[in-house]
Amino acid sequence: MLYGYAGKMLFIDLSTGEIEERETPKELAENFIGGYGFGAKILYDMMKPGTDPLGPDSVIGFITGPTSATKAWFGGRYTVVNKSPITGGWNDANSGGYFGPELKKAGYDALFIKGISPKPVYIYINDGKVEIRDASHLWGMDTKEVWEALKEETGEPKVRVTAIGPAGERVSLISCPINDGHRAPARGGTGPIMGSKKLKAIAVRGTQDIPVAHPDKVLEINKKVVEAMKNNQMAQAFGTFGTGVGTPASALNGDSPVKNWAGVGVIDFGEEKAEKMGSIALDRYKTKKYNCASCPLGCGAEYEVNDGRWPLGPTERPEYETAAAFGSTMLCGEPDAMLKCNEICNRYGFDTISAGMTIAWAMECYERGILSKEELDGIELTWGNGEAIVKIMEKMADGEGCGAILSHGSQYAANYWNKGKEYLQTASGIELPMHDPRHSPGLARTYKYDPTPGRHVKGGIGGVQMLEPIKEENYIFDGTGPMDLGMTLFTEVLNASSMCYFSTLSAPPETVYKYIAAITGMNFDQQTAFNTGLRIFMMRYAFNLREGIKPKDMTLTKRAIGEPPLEAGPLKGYRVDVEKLGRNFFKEAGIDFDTGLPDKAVLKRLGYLDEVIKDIYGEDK
Amino acid sequence: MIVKLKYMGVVHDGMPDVLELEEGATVKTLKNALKDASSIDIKPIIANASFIVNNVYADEDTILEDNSQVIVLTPLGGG
Repeated sequence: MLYGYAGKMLFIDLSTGEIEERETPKELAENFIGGYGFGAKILYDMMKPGTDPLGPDSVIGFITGPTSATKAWFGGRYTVVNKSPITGGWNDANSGGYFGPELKKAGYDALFIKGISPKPVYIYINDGKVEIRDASHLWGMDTKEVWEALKEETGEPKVRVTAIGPAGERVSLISCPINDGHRAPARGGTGPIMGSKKLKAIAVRGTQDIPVAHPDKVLEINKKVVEAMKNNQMAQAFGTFGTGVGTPASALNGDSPVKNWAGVGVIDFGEEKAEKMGSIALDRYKTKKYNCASCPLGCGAEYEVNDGRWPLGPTERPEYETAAAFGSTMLCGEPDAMLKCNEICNRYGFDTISAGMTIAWAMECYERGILSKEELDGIELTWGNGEAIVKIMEKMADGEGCGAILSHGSQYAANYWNKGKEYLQTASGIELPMHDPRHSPGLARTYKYDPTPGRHVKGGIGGVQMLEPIKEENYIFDGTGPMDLGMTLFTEVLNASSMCYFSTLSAPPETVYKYIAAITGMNFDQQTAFNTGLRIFMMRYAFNLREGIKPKDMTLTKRAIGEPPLEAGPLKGYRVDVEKLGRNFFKEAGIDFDTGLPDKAVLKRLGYLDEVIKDIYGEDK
Repeated sequence: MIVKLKYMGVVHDGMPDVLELEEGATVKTLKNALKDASSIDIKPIIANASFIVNNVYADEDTILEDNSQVIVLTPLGGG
C-alpha cells in the first residue's frame, strides 16, 4: 500500500477521448513527493522540447500531494503544471480551496491532460468514475456560474470545480482557472492551456479515505501546529483579517511596489490611501470567515459589498497581492475599484497580479504619452483613477478594443504596440508580484532565476527578508548561496507536499518533514528533504534547460533591482546585485552559471534523473 | 515630550496611542519603549517594525520631537 496517496493517476487525451488510469509509482512518490515534483518529472517525460504550449502535444497537470485529504493541517493545496505560453519554459501555480483534496478523495493523486477537444468539454470525476462531457452549454459562463451549473447538472451539491471563465476561453495569456469561486492557480499562463484545449472545467466529487501510515503521529503534530499558531501574532492577524492586513504597512515600508515600481509609498501614495486599501478598513464588509480545506488559520473571508460605485453583493475578500496590484502599484486609493476588479478577475478567470500590473504598465505609458487616449479606447488612464482602471479591466474581461490586447499581459501589449517596453516590470515576461526586491533583496534572485520566474512563493532568503525591516546586512551579496539554496529546497518540499506556504507563519520548518514521514511512513529527515528538494528543483530546471533556457537568458527588469536606485523613501539608494546572488545560488546547487549545465556528479548522486543526464550528457552515463 | 502613535499591520491591542519619552529620544529609544510595553508575543513583531515620523520614513537614529506623529509599520509580507 502506498500510504499518503490515492494510488492512481489519470491521463486523458482530449483529441482522442482516451482516458487512462495508471498506478502512482512508489518510486515517483518517494523521490518527487507530489505537486510540481510529480509534475516536473511527468511533463519532462511526456513533452518533447519545443512543444507548442497551446498545441495538442502540450500537457497540463492538476496534482495533489501526500498531505492533501489527510488530517494534516495546511495540507489543502493542489498544483497546476504546464509549459508557459509566456516564458516558453516551465510553469507551476498552486491553489487552496477544496478542489485538490476532493480530486484525491475521488481516487486520483494527479490528472494529466493533453490533446485538443474538437468542442468545449468538461471532465467529471466521481469516486473513480471518469467522463469527458460536453460543455457547449457552459462556454461563455463565468467561473461562479459554471460551478453552480455543475452542482445542478451532476446532482452533487458538494462537487468541487476548477473552471476557466471567458478570459481562458479566449486563450488570454494571463488567464487562469478559478476553483471554489475565488481560489486560483493563477500565475504563468495556466488558463490559456485549458482554453486552447477547449477544456472548460474539471468537476470532482470524492468520498474515499486516504491511507495514512501513522495517523496518531499526524494528530500529535496537529496539536503542536495549532498551539504554535495560537501564540503567533502574525498568524492570528492573518486569521482575523487575511493577508490584506499587511497592505497599508507594506505600501509604506517599501515592500509593495508603488507607481509601477518607480514611486515611493510614503511620498506618492501616502498613509490615507494605504490605510483605505487594507483589510482592516474593509472589515466592515466581512460576513463570514473562509478556511481552505484542512486549514486551521483561515486567511479568507466572504464579503457583502452593497455600497460604493460598484455594489457587488456577495464577493470575496481580496488578498494582499490583489490589493497592492490594484492599489499602490497604480497609486489608487479607491477600494471599491479594487474590489470590483477582484470580482471581475475571479469571475472571468484572470491572474490578479498580472492584470493589475498590466494596467499599471498601460497607465505609465498613458501618463508618459506613449499610449494615446485613442489607443485606450478614449479612457483617460491617469494615475490613481479607479473609474478608468475598472473600465480597462472590463474591456480586458470582454476582450474588447484595447482590452483584447491588454488581456494577454503587459509583455504581449508592449510587443503588439511596439512601444513602452522600457516600462515593463517583469521577470522573463511574467509580471512581478507585490514584494519589492529593493526591500527584500533575495527576492531578486528568486524572481529572476527560479525555473518558475517572477514568484514570491519560491523560497530563498527573500522570503525571510520580507518579514524584516530593511537591514544593511541584506545588501551584502557575498556568501548568500548556502542559505538561499537551503531555504529554496525547503520550499520545494513544502510545495510538493501540498502544504500551504502560510504554515510557515507559525509551525517550525521541519513540520512538513514530520508530516510527510507520519503520513507516508517514509524516513524523511533533513538530508532526505535536502536531496528531494534539489532533485525536484533540478527537474524543473532541466525542463527549461531542454527548452534552451539558461540562467543567463532569464530576465528581470531594472527598477526591481534599483537601476537606477530610488532617490527618496525607505529604499533610497539601494541596488541589488542580482547576478551575484544568482552565481552564489547556482554554485551551491551544483549548476554552472555561465554554461547553465548542472554538475553530472550532483545529478548522479541525487538519483532518478537518468533522462536529464542522458539529455545533457548523452547516452554514456 | 510625547509622541503620538498609530499602528499598521498586526493589530496591537493594548499598545499605547501616546508615549512619553525624554527629550532627544530617537526612534531606537521609542522602539525599546514599545518593546517594554508589549506582551511577549508582540515583542518580536515590534523588533521587526519600521517607522514613519511626521510622514517621513525614519531610521533608528532619527531624533523625535515633541508631538511627533509616528506610524509603526509591522511587516507581514503576505499574499
